[in-house]
Amino acid sequence: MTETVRLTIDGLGVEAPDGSTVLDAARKLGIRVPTLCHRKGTKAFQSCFICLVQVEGRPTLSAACSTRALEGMVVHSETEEVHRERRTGLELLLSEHHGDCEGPCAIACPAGLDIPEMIEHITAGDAAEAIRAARERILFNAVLGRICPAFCERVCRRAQLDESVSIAALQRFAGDAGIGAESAGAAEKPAVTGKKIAIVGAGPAGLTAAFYLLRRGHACVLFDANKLPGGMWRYGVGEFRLPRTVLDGEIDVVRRLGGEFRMETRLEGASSLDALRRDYDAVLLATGAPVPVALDCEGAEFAEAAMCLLGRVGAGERSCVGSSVVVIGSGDMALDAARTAVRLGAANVTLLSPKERKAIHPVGERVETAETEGVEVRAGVRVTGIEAALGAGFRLTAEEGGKSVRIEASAVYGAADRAADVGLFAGMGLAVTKKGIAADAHAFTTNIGGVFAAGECVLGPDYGVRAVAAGRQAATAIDQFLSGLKPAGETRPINVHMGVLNEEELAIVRSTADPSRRAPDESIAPEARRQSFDEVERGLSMEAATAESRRCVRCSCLAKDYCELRRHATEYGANPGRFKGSHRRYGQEVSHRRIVYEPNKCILCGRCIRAAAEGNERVGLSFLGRGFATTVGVPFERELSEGLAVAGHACVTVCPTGALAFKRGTGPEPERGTSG
Amino acid sequence: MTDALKDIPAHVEVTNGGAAGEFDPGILDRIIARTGRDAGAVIPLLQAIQAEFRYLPRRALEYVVEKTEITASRIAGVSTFYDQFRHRPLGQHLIRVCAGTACHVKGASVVYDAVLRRLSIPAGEDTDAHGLFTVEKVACLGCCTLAPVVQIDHVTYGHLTVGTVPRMIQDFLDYERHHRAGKHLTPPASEEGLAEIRIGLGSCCLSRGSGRVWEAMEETLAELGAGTQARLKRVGCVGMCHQTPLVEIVEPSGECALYARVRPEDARPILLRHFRPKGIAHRIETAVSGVVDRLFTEDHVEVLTRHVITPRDPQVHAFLGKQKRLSTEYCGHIDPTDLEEYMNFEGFDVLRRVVTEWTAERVIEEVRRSGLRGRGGAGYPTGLKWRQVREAPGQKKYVVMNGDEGDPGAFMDRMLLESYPYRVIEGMAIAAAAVGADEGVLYIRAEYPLAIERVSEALRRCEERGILGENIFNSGFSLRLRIMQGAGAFVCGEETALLASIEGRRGMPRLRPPYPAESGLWESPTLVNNVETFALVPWILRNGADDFAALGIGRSKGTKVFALVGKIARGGLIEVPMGVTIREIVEEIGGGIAGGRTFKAVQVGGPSGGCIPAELAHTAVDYEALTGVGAMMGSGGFVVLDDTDCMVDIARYFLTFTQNQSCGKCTFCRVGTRRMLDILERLCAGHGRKTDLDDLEALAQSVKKGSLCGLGKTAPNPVLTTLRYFRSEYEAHIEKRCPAGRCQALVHYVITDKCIGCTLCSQNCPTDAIPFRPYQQQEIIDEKCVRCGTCKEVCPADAVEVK
Repeated sequence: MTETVRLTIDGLGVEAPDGSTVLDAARKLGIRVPTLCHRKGTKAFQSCFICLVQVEGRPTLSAACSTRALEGMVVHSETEEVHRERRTGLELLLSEHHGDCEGPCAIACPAGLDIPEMIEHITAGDAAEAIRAARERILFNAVLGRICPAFCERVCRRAQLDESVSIAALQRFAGDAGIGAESAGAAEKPAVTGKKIAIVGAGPAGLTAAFYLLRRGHACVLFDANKLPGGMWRYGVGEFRLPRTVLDGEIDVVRRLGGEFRMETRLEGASSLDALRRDYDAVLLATGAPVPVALDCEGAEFAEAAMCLLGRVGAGERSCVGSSVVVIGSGDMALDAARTAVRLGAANVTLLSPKERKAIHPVGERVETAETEGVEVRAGVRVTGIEAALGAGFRLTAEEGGKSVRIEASAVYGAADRAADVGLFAGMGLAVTKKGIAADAHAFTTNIGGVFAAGECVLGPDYGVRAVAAGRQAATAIDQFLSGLKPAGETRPINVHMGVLNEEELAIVRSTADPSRRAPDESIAPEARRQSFDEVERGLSMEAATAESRRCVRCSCLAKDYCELRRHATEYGANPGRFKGSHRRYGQEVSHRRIVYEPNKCILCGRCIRAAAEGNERVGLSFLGRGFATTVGVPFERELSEGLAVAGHACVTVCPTGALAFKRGTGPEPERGTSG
Repeated sequence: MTDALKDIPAHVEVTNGGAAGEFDPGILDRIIARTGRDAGAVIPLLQAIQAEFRYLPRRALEYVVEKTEITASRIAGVSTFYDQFRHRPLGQHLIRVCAGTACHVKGASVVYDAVLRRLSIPAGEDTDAHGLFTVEKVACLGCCTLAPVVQIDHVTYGHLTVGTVPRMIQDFLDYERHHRAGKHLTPPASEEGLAEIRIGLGSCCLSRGSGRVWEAMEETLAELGAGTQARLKRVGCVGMCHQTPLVEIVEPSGECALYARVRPEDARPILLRHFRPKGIAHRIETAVSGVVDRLFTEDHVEVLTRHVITPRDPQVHAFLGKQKRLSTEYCGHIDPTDLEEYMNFEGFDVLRRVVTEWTAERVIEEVRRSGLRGRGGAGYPTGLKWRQVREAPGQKKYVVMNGDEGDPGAFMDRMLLESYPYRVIEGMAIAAAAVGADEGVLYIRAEYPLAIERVSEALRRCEERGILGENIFNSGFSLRLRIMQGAGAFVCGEETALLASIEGRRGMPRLRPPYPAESGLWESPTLVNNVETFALVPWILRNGADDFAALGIGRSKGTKVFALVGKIARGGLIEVPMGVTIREIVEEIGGGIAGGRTFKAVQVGGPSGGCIPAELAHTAVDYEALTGVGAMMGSGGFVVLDDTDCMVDIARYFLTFTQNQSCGKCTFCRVGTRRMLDILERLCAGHGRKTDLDDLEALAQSVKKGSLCGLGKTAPNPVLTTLRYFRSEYEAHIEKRCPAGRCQALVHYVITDKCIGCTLCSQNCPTDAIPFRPYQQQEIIDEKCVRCGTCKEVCPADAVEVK
């Protein structure tokens, strides 16, 4: 008969066989104590020390994996001190753990698109899988692949070798492949929850929220003041950049999932908001920032809002704008208005930007594209006044290069800015900020219960990708709310990143990189563009997309979705940047047919060493060196293929990080959950 | 080619060391046959291979894997863990620069840099282009009173400066060229009625030239035909390191004379004085050294004056007066390996009584009553530990002596093993009898060759006399003791790591419980005690627990041995009763601070201990009192610091040591100490941030709480104590100032208008940072200056200032 001991953990009594550890007893109670070096059913190795607990009567914290459970022992595993030291331990491990969880591109993407995974599927020639993966984070890939400023490309690691991967073009490729395809990105018939959400505004944020709520089985009704859904994408972007068929194609996914559209309906005030709250389980305000801001000059009333021009054209009108058009402003709206004017037959189109040339648009090429089409771009011009000239035209006075200049125009369009209708919201009893509705940055809740707000109506005018990100995150928060939880929004896993590579690291990346150059942008001839609203940029062919996808250097970690270090670090709110300093050296040992070893990610838990020994490896693995410089490696500088001749699978399976991982496409997803 | 190597004698063959080319499996077969082929033999096996090849050729290791039961993983893991093992061929000569605490505070790092510069060894390399010299830093050579110290092969150079480095290398090459077959210093058999000429031959005495004094005495005795009147006698450490080489002449009448800092050429006059008509040797008393000998003992503080001293001299009296010799009983009187002599002084009487008359219970009770606590540092009650081992279930029990003394700045254990091997063996044998062990291991660091040699000899003689082995004193009690050489890992001073090392594994500790008393060596109950603890046992049992307990204070009984080093006038090895205050040690025994500087702090307990400021010098040497001020007893390093020592630098120094010696197993120690060191390095480099001090403190607390073993748990102590007592100095570093002028990045050397234009600085500057401008005020080009201090040292006009 085995004797048992009784102890208390976090106030709960538990009986455990004599000889058990505190960890065993905690697990019996279902209390989660994090571990990294320990494997269930094996002798404790005592290296990671993140299983710390407080045993009453002991002066310092104890490692649960190696503390014998004793009769009458009182243990606390959830105190502030225990959490703090577990977090510190994780932060120390993260500081030597060197690599990228997500690729820099995915981190830079406001919507967190898993770009490497999408690219991986394109390389494999599986466009359907690529769009399925992309739609985990973004519905509008065909749209954003065309118009997104692509922050991802600016941080792309490939750019350190030659030029960034053409990520936007690949996203567009995947998105286009998804248009019209049945079921792409929509989960198989989700279980209907019976909950119904009113979404006010069928623009980027509202549509996105609808998509992710519908996927979770909630019903959605979208209200919009306009005739057609799409918001600013339909009424504020030139068709030559974003064909309406593409936009409609992706909106159609929402419709097919059961999204109900109530167009040309306005949210009028507090009473209608109350009505929505009464009739629906939750309300999401996603009304965008559709109010044009007047120019800051005398005679501003003579300038029409560029947004109105784009709106009319977006709705299908093709009116004449006169022979010499002036557009005042910067950014996409100003550029698109100028290019639209060219297409509407204006002989002279001038863009007067108050900003310096390089500040007109974050993507400099977009200014050049406008110039190719005949737009005269004058940067650093401050318009001080507009007056109606004799006859049918206007005279502008402006300061340019310190001098006062006069400019004549038959039509003037102002693209100063847009804004959310803050007054309207305030009138409904919503708390507001200068930019829009005051909503929680993570939970998207407002001061009114059950009413959420996301997108430009909160942020003010912004890039579509940010509205899309907000829409998806708000959907998560609303789902939590509808499930009776406190809305908290998405938890973003922590990320370790390598930053700019040093020469040594770069050399390793270069050695495995595909040598081809970035795919050139293909566009229709400038002469042809002046006559038509046809899309200017041509996308990538299947072949070109596959070739471009191979240029990706695959920064993201193979283990990012199952890494135990990342999971615990996220749970304990560890800050990977708390400790900076020397870390493990980057390397890639690829001699093994199926396994890749990245010593830079190793946390010295020794699980693989023990697994190799248990697997009777002849050469096996060993700790090498001592102290901070210790590494795990194959004895006598032999290759990994020799060290792991038979027990490779077991070693990868036990690795708690991505130090040992199956090469892409060569191994099964290792079974996980061997530790706590 | 560098200047140093220009004069390489033609016959010195410059090879790349090692014999990997001509690989002879026969050698390995013989080694394997000698050491055994099981996993436990791996460390002795690697040591033997390295002794043969001077490094570990990969082919040899692979051969071992093939021929023994030792796995590749084990060999690779163990051979890369310990500092002793080299995987690259060694240069023909090995230069070991001591990086111990005493050496550090006396400028070891600039000496190290100077050696590398002199040999043109580029950063990241350790061997010069000709394969003549390999340079390495070692944790501590245990010759702290000679700091800074460099060992080239078996020749030790002390009190080095940047300026004397080239001469040291040249001297070594000269010495090599004229190297005579080394004479063995064997004492003649003892004879009655003769005067004794006692010469201390501990490691540090030897490195200060006592070996050559011995040779000179031997030759002179023969020449004078005085062999019938006197005999030479080798004795252990005399403790008064500041006076060595020390020769004591004891006339048959009992009258004695002590000669300090004797040089070989003094042998003749000294002997004439005693064994010839009087009056010839008067001049000795005023003899002043004019020549620089092979041993560079240039100490600007202590002029090389030799004189006759007697124990009644006030200086000597002060040094000895406060001391109380228990573990160092008969200091300077007995020949370390002379078993007869040890027995004449009641040696092994207690062991005989213990094994033939006493019950184990009586022994343990006596030790318990004495209040003896572990001298390794933590101060666990020895009697209690013995009882636990005694009562632990199990047939097989072991007793282990922890002689892995690795604290930089401490050499008590080395001295005890070199000078009193029998006393340590006796204490250990008594312990074995008390706890019921029949097998024991003396774990001694390989860096202490003389200790290993003497203990081996002592063990052999004991076995021959039946004091060890089967059926000791016909009592039925048997005990086999063997030596295990530590392979260079400070962490092996931690008992679980030490046991792992004996079992042939990487010296990585494990959590306790279970304690070794319950599950130790090969999972049997094991008693692990420190050298000094064992050395005290015979005295306690001979004189009684009450006499021992009468010494000391509070819960700290008896005496403690300290290595009194650093900025002290009279450094040495001292044994004091517990309860003595720090001030008494520094001012009375040590004679205050050397060179008339200001007493700032003492660092007690090495890397686990802390810095105690001068204001707290009334603190008593007592386990609890020292812990109370943030330090700890540790194993007995006692480094005195003056106003030129930077406390941030001291903290960084100790943390560099522990960080480097961390086994790397647990997160908090492996990474935590590294991150603490990052902050300290930043501070010393002048890149500190406002938040650094709070971050450092928070992290230090985490490392204390979350580390596996004592090394990690105590590693933050030097940082925390300096932060506690010298926070303003840390704050100054954030403002890019080093008040003590030690942190190289924060100080600048400038030449003032006192300059007389002699150009000595320019001539001696190792980096050409001072353009040669005769008869003008010299100027230092700051970007070229490496802050080695040579200019300041050579300047005759005191015109170099550190700002």
